Amino acid sequence: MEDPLHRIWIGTESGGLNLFNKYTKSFTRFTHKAKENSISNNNVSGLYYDKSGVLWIGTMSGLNSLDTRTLKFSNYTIKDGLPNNAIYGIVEDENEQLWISTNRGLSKMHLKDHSFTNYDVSDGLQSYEFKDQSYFKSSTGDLYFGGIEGFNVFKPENIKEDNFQPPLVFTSFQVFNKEVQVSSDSSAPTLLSQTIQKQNTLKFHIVIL
Amino acid sequence: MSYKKLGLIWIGTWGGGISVLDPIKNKFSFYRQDPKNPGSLGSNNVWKIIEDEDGNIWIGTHSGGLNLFHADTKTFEHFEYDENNPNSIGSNIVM
Repeated sequence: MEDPLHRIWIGTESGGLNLFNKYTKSFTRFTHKAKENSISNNNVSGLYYDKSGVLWIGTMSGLNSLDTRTLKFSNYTIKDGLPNNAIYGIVEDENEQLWISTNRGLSKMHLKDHSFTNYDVSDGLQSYEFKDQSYFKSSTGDLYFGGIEGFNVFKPENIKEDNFQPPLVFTSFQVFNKEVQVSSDSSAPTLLSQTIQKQNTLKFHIVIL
Repeated sequence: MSYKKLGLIWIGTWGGGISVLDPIKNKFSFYRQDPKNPGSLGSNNVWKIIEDEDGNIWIGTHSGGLNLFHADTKTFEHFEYDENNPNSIGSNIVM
């Protein structure tokens, strides 16, 4: 991957991230170092240089970003919202979002706040598992990701986020199959005649509207 | 896959080296590893092909290091891991 300064960034298996200076023909290696700010794994799959000058690095221990001015790494894993730490392809769409294929589905990262939205087989993915080096953005903005059961192609703007949270309503409460009525108002005494103890049968009814 | 300025389509394969398609003539040419020829492709397993701003073709191979294609001689320059040189590439598996 060539950056705007004509430097070539190279991902390797077991040799970390390498920066190649094509004029001196020498390499600078960035490898994992415990207890130091460094790349999180020496197996590097996908690389993507975003418009703000951040290099995004897919590794077998999560997604890394490298600020190419300060050479400081940041690491994103399942704890940050990724579906899996084995990262394959990284592609940016036209709306400041990275699309990331992993060993457990596809993830969309919002570059503004670094939050993730994950997609799985129920969203139409070919399978959970994607493949190394199998990703492509066409000139019309379509994204392609290859996996073990074929490939997915989509227009990222057509993948709408499901922000609808249906209201959850609590409809009844039963103790040993006897309905406990609701108090008429907040000042009325509780209608439970005694403390619930040694009861095996409590029923809560909730409804999603 | 990379699209060269000349309009050629470079296709990396797994096991078969590189195929270059000239879409106008509808003809393929091939580059493969030849152990007797040090200027041949470093490995027939190709992970990645990119074209830089200067029109150079760089090839990441599986176990053959990073290769640079020299269009004038149609040969490949190899950049490989050297345990004695910290400025060499970190691995010969180049993604």
